[in-house]
Amino acid sequence: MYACIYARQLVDLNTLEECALSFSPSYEKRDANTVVFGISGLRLLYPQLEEIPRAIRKHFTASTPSVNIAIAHSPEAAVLVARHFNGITIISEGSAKALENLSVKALTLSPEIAEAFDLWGIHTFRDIAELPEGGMVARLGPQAVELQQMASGLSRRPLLIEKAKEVFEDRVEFDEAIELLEPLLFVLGRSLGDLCQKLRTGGMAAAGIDLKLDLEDGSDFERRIRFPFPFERSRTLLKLINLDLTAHPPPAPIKALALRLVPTLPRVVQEGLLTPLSPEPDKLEVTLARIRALVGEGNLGVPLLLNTHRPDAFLLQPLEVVRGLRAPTSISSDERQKLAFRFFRPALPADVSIWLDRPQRVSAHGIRSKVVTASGPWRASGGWWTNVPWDRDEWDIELANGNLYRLCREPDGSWKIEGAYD
Amino acid sequence: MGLLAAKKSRAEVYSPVRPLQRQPREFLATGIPSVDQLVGGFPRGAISEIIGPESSGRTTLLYQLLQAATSNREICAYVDLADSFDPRTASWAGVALSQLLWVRCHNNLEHALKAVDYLLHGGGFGVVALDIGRRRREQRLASSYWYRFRQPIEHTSTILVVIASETLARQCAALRLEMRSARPRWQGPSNALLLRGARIEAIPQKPFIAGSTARIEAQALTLGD
Repeated sequence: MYACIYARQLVDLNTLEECALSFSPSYEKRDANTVVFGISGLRLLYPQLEEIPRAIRKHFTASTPSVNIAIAHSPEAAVLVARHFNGITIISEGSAKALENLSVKALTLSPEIAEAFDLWGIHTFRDIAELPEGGMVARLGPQAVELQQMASGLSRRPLLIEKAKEVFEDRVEFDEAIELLEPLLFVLGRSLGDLCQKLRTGGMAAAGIDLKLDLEDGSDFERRIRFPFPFERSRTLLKLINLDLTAHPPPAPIKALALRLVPTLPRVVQEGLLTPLSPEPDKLEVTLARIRALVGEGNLGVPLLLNTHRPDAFLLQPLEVVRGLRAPTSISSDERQKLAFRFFRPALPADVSIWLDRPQRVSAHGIRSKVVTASGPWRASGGWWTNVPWDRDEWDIELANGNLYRLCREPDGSWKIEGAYD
Repeated sequence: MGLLAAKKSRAEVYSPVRPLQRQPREFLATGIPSVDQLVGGFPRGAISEIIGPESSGRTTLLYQLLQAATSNREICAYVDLADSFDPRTASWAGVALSQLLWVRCHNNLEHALKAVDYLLHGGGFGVVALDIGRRRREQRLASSYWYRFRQPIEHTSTILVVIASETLARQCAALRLEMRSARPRWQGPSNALLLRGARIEAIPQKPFIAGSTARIEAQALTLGD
């Protein structure tokens, strides 16, 4: 059995939802004025069916607009009855009799079907119910079956349940302020275990962690950790929090903690026999967090070349591993090997002696030799339209020991060895 | 005879000590015909070394290996002790940068070794390259690291490649290629020379193949490329 509440005037939808929730955890929000919910489980509380709509009615005070309440065997019938019969209506047996005099306009019809009904002289639900099913389907298509079932009160469409948004939060207050990381992680581990269990039960995973620590000096310390992949395992999350707090320790002892997991759908990947080797996402994230804590935030990532001729122009981006089916990387048709270059970061300041406008000898930290061959100067410049213009002369030089370097002369006349061909 | 055969079969069944079943190694071909014909590529599940002085073509060979691995859709890592990696020439060599994790260690050897350790124990990488380049005298490297690095990759497809000026992994390395100083190729009149490339030579030291050398012709990046 289903109950439908229909507010005859526009009301705050929360009022209807709160009322529905007080009777059933699963309800359907049909529109701004209508909610439907199952009442089969209420028969123990209310042995008499008539008691249920009366109990529902008690939720609405005199200040709220008048509502219609209908009880029927199907959600559709309950909605139709609630919308077209004032007060409380209970249809305990077949709904066809109660609905038979309703106008076809009560149904949501396409313009073609509405026109067809008008031409055929079909005006009420009883008219639709009496039409032969086969003929209706032949003329109006498969949706005619649904229309006829609704008109007969036999529609068995399940409820489209409105799920309350679940919150994955926990808060722990300590009797005495915590100074060390280890006891804090112990408490966090327990909270994470419970929250991850709750996540898994709901078929969700964590896309990030928001951690807020109330410190003894009265200030708050917040950390927001976001993952490139959703995780479900509490151990992985605890390890990531551990590494983050190690890298960014709170400045004072901790009085309380508030933990919130950001829920998202878990990642489902179809693996294949020929899937290439790639790291497991949770292991990779922990590995990257460990290395990040070691070398620093900006020293780890995937290089992205910038669209400029300026040498050594790149950005570091987070690594994103796309598992499963990946398009093969295109291979250059040029089969010749490419001579690699190694940068000296920072570039080595050099003393260069010039003879006939060409470098003759070079002296820098760890490099002191005669220049055997020099190619240049190759002038390079750019960014003159910005605040950071650059301009320099480049030389490729071969020293007496066979080493190949790139030598640069800056606009101020200083020389630098930028790197070596290797 | 029957009793002996029975004793032998019982010993085979119950002996706790079994001879190590060595599986034939898989190799990742570099795409350089002379190198692949000589050593078959870089062995998977093992440590390889590319040693030689500056400008000997070590990095060129490494980029070629990374190109082969990333075009095979594998994720690779480049642990860069001296912060010398050049993404532009690597990309030009065909390395898919989106599949290459670059770890910049700013001459901190301990950080570089720990990063390699984390990457190898994390698993799943096709090639992990440790670029030590030119090691300073004060940067001491304990030999126990190489035993530690060899263990987690032993039965995996991961290749650990070390670039250095001298051998470091010693007996832990399954392949060691020594690079000789590259001979640059210049083109044009004497007053307007242009660096066109270099001839590189790789000599296998381990496994030692007497009198064999792999020759590589590498072209240099010019403004038009």
